[in-house]
Amino acid sequence: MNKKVRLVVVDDHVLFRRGLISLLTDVPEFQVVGEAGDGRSALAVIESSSPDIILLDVNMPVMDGIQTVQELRERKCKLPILMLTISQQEDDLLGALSAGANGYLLKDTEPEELRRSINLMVDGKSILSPDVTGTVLRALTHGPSSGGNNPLSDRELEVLACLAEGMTTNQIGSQLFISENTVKTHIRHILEKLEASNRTEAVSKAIQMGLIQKVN
Amino acid sequence: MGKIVKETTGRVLIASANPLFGKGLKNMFQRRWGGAARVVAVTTTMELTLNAVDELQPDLVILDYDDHAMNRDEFLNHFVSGEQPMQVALISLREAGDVVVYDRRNLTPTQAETWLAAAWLNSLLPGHSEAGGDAGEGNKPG
Repeated sequence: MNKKVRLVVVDDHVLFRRGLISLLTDVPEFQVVGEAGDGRSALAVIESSSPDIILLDVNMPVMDGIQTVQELRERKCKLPILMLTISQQEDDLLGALSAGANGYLLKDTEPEELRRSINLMVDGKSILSPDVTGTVLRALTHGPSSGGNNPLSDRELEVLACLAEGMTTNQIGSQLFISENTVKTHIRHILEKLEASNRTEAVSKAIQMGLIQKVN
Repeated sequence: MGKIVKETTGRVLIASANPLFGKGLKNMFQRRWGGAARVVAVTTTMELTLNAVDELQPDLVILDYDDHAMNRDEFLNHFVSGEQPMQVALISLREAGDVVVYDRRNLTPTQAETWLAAAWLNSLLPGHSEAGGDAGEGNKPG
């Protein structure tokens, strides 16, 4: 009987993570040996559970996926790392690959495709989601796009666009269907990333950087 | 009015075009629920979701509302205009943040009187009320 592939799953979205683990547990050749909700916790889990492969989300609190890959490679960890994310942003994709990730799959992958990808990666292959291959090829041919200096996530850009329209925290929450606390968290991240001291300055900087259009 | 409030949740509809999310939730909850509940459908478009709500009349709908194939406003309009008891959990795959829960119930006047005496204690999760019956907004799961 073949040895099972030992997996660690790292994702801050509890429902997605638990659902994914449930699916992976049903695959006869897989064994989920650890899970974590952020990169920092993942480092300890990976060290203690001796996995064969790591499935890693990109956008997470405390320590994001790219930082986690960097940290693992600095620690001389040679395990295959598969980024499993919803992000198609060039920064995330190229950042993860240049940090040392061996694969980048989007979360809209079918379970059977994920299974094949994991098995290929354990055999030493690299995997890219077809939806992001073009971005990698463009970056190799022409260098990173001008949008490569965009430090914000898709959601943060949406929040920023709402701020530019003069919406309040409450209005943004209603518009994007997220709680006020979540909106405030996004705004805090936006201010940090754009090094702005207030919302108006953040909007102004974002317009200068071409991240959003000026609202008349 | 006058309908009996269901005490058990048995029929679940999962609406998400994301196969890992939708099938993962289905797999996980079917294990947890055992025979107490079953997923009657996993829908991947708004049209299929609204048809399933009408035809299958689930007790619980789990909607991946940030999914591009779904339209949360259209779904909520449909939900608010309905009548049968139904719970809705709005979950975003893009955000690991809050899950919004709507809980539509039909109560007799007597039941309503009892319920209104301590409505905030009857909520599934602590939080404030929103449209579509009583609703609680809880903290993010982790």
